[in-house]
Order: sequence, then structure tokens, then C-alpha cells
Amino acid sequence: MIRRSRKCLLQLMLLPTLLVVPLPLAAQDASMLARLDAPSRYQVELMMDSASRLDLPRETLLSKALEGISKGAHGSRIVQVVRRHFAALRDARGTLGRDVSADELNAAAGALQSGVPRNSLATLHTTRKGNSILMPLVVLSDLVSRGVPPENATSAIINMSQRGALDSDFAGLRRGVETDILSGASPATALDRRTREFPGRGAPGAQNPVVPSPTRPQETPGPSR
Amino acid sequence: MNEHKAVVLAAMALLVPAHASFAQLASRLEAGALVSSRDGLLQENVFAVRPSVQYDLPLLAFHASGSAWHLGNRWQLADGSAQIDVSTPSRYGIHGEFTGSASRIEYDPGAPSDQVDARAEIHMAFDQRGGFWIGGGIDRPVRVSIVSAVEVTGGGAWTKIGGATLSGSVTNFAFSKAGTMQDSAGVASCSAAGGSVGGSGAPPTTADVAAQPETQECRRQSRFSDIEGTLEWALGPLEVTAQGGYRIGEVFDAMDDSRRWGGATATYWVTNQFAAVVGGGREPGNPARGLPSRSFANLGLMLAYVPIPRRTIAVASNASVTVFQVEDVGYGNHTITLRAGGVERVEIMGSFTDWEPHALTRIGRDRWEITIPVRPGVHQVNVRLDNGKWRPPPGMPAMRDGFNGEVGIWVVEEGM
Repeated sequence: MIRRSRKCLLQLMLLPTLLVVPLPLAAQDASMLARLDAPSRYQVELMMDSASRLDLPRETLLSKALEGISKGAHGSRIVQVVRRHFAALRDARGTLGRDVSADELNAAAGALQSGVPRNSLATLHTTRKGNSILMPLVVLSDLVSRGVPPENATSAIINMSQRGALDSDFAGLRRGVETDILSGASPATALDRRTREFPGRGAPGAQNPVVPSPTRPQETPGPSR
Repeated sequence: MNEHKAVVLAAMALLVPAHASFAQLASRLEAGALVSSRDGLLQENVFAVRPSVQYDLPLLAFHASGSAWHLGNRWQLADGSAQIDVSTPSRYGIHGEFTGSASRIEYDPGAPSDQVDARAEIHMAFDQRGGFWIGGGIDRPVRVSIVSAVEVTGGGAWTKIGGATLSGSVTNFAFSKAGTMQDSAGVASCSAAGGSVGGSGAPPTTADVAAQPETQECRRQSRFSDIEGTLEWALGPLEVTAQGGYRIGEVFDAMDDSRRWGGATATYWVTNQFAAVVGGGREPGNPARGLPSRSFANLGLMLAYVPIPRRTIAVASNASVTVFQVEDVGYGNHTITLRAGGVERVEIMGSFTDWEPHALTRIGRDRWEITIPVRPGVHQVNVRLDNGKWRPPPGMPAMRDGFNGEVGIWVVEEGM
């Protein structure tokens, strides 16, 4: 009798946990976007659905919208930024294909929005020969946001990548450029100086590959309107 | 036994929210030698301890402090105060503050002076560089029947120049005080069993005063204004606070010994939680509370598990984060530590918090910390000081965020 009553008690205790059924993804998104005005929310949700259909990371778009909400941006501005990011994700996917991770895709989208040309993304992807392009892309976006001309930054990153640079080399480049800029150097000069300091990681005796001249962007991918 | 439980519960209530996202507990204990002197009285050399505690929520703050003196082989309470601040959310740089406080000053054993205060202020800040405030309120001395409630009005302005904050204020005090004809220059009205003098609203004339007996009770209107300037300056481990003031008023409201005052305190932080304090100066008298002016000098040590923030003017600062470190503490949690001095609030948000701001807890003088779950991957992150602009943490790659700002890129590796 006691055992049976204990069993009933246990069932009663477990009941609330059974009632907590995970909400569907869309419902979770809707609740998180509740602070956005209805027309803007509708447009963001529409783009998230489109992203899912195109196998693009929809959570990135949700995150961008939440970021805008927390930073007090107007609904129309949030929609504009999310749309621009969605377009960049689509372009990045078209350029890099499906063999890149969601993080790399996001980083590539960020680089495109910074002004990095699409063909440079493809070149970088090729030169990395299967290695992750995450860190080069992160550093590329950082350099451009610090005022380094996109073509110079792209050329430098591709150059280092072709010379066998590791993730730590890219991180070191970023730190060096940041230090030089804070010391008063122009962003382009800082990048030039720090890039020249990189000795290359090719096999002993091997010649460094020919560095292509900076490619001028034919057309910077813009937001889809 | 019940008392012990109550103490434990109260301690838990204070400590548990201190580690919650939006609460902040700070405490200090200062101990040292204090020399206090008042005109016409013997100088007092005492050993003083001064504990203080502050508990902050986003729009609510509680502050309590006190001091006890060891004098003549016994301890005595010198002063104590408790204060609650309620703020409104800031809109276009404007916010309101409501303050209620109760205090006791008992420099002379057996002669306490108690007072409750209420204040309302409107603050306006201009892009973290400066601002001003206006406000008013009531101070009510307790158990002092000869003084009415004190009406307080005033305003001030502040600005930040480098590591220094300069502020200036003007505060007007108005109250009525009982006295006799003989000592009540500026009499407003007198009353006696047989009638009143000047009670119709017109101040009594010299002839009226001369005609009245000495024992007749009169109410005297007292008004004076304090003009005060304050400098708060931080340079590395050294913090200096200095203030000076001047009192404007009739001679019977602003005694000569309270016309001017000034003082300074320097705190040198040997470590984040241990400092040496030296200070001295002169405090003006408080006519409403019947407190005379006094001079003081102190030399002591300060212990701070979490130090009390410097006097808050409730403004955003232009301070910056100097160090940003991340440590993987296991189970998917990361402890984020940063250093930012001279600020009252530090927040972080990012893709790993679904862009919900989380307040960091102050550890030591300028170290702020939070432990938070972060999944491996690439995250975007921003930090904010004193409700200022969201910025990328220092030393971290950054990119434009699309909202006229920048965001840090944080790569969290698996099992980092």
C-alpha cells in the first residue's frame, strides 16, 4: 500500500515535467520577436522561412533581429539589416558551395557585407585547400571595419593563406594591425607593414607563390531590395 | 533560534540576488584613526570603523553606512544612515530619481540627531560627457520640535574631463525655527497666551520685539544656500575626492564657522580589495539639526570584497574596458572577466544570450565578472558601460553590426 502510494506520488511529481513540451521552433522565434512591431516581425519571419528552404542558417537572421531589438533599432531598420544579411548568406552559399559550415557561411556573409568581393571569397576558399576559412574571414572583416581598404585586406589575407598561414598567424596579423593603428599608423600602412613581417610557412627552400595583384571588386554584392 | 533563521534568510536574500544577472552587491569596511574637533571643545582622537553596503538593481538601489568610534574604552555609534533610490528609465537622456533616507548622527553620546529625508530629482545627461539635474524635497528632523520640516531645492551640473568628474551644485534650505525675541533676528511671528506679534503675516517691527517679554516664543524663518564643488579623479590605483563649498545666508543662519568648508580624501588601492585612505577637512554645521561645524582628519585602511561605487551622479561614463578575458569553466560555461574602472554598471550581450543584456558582478575595484553558458561556435558580442554605447570587447575581432555600431566576433572552440 505504501509502495503504491509512493508510486502515485512519484507520478504526480513527474507530471509537470511531462507537461513541459518543447515549443516548436517557429513558436519560439515568434515569442522572441514579440517586441518587434507586427509588420516588421512578419517580414523577418518570412525571410527566416525562406532561409530554411534554401538551407541557410535561419537562427542567424533571428539573432540579427534580436540584436537590432536590443540595440533599440527601428523595425524598418531591423528588416533592412536582416534582409541584407539574408542576401549575403545567399551569395556566400552560391560562392562557397555546401561544403562550408554554418559558422563559415556567417563569417563569409559578414565579409561580403564589409565590402569583400565575391570572387575573393572563392579564391580564399580555394587557397585554404579544405582548411577552415573561418579565421581568415573573421580577420578580413575586422581589418575592413578598421578602415583597411577591402581590396588591400582581401589581397593580404589571400597572400598569407597562399603562404600557408595558420589561424594563429591571422590572429597575430589582426593584433599587429590594431596595435599599429592605435599607434597612429594609417590602416593600409599598418596592414602592409604587418603582412611583410609574415615569413611564410612553406617547406624549407620552397619559393613563395606569386602573389596576385589586388583584385578590384567588379561589383560589391548589395542587399536584395 | 528563530532570530538565527531570520539572520540566515536575510543574508541569503542579500547574497543570492547579488549573483543574479541584474543585481549588484558592494561592501566596504574602513578602519583607522580619526581626529575630530569642534570649536570650543576638546579634540577627539578615536579609532573609527566605518562599514558600508550597497545593493543595486537596475532601477532601485539600497545603501547603508555607519561609523562607530572607540573612545574611552567603549564603543559608541557616531552616525548611521540608510537610503533607498528609485530611478525611472532613461528616455532621451532624461530620467527621474526619488530618494528616501533616514539617518542618525550622535557625535555626543546621549544627544542623537535623527532625520528622515525625501528627494525628487530630474537628471539630464548629454552623450556621456556632462549633464545637469534639478530637484527638491523635504528633510524632517525627528524629535526636534523647535525646527520645522526643511524645504530643500537645488540643482547642479557635472562634466567629465579625462579621468576626472567635476560637479557643482547649489542647494537652498528653508525652514522655521523656534526661538525667543532676544535671539531671533529675522522673526516671522511670535505667539503668547495673550496674543501674537506679527502673526498676521507681516514680520514684527523692532518696536514689537522690544515690547515683548524675553520668554515669548517666536518662529524664525531661516534660509541659506550652499554652493558646492566636487572633484573626483582616478589615476591608476589612486583615487582622489575633493570638495569645497561656500554658504550664503544671514549671519544667524550661516554662522561664520560654516561659511566656507573643504576637504579631500585620497585612496590608494594596493590590491583590488585593499587600500590605504588618508583625508581631512572641515564640515559645515547643520542649523536644522543643531550640529556644529567640525574639522577632521583620518588615516586608515580599507577592505573591500566589492567596493562601493564612487558617488553616483547617475550618468553614463566615457570609461572603457581595458582587459577582456574568457575562461572555460566546464559544462559549457565560460567565465568572462573584464576590467573597467570608474563605472557603476557593466553589461554584456551577444548571440549567446539571444541579445539579452546580462549585468556583470563587480569583483574588487575594477574587475567585473560573469559566468554564462556559451555553445561552441562563432558568436557576436557587445559590452556596455553605465548604459553607454554597445561596443565590441577590446582585443577581439570586430565588424560593423548594421546598426551604426560594431560587434565583437568571439570564436568559441569545442572544449576550449
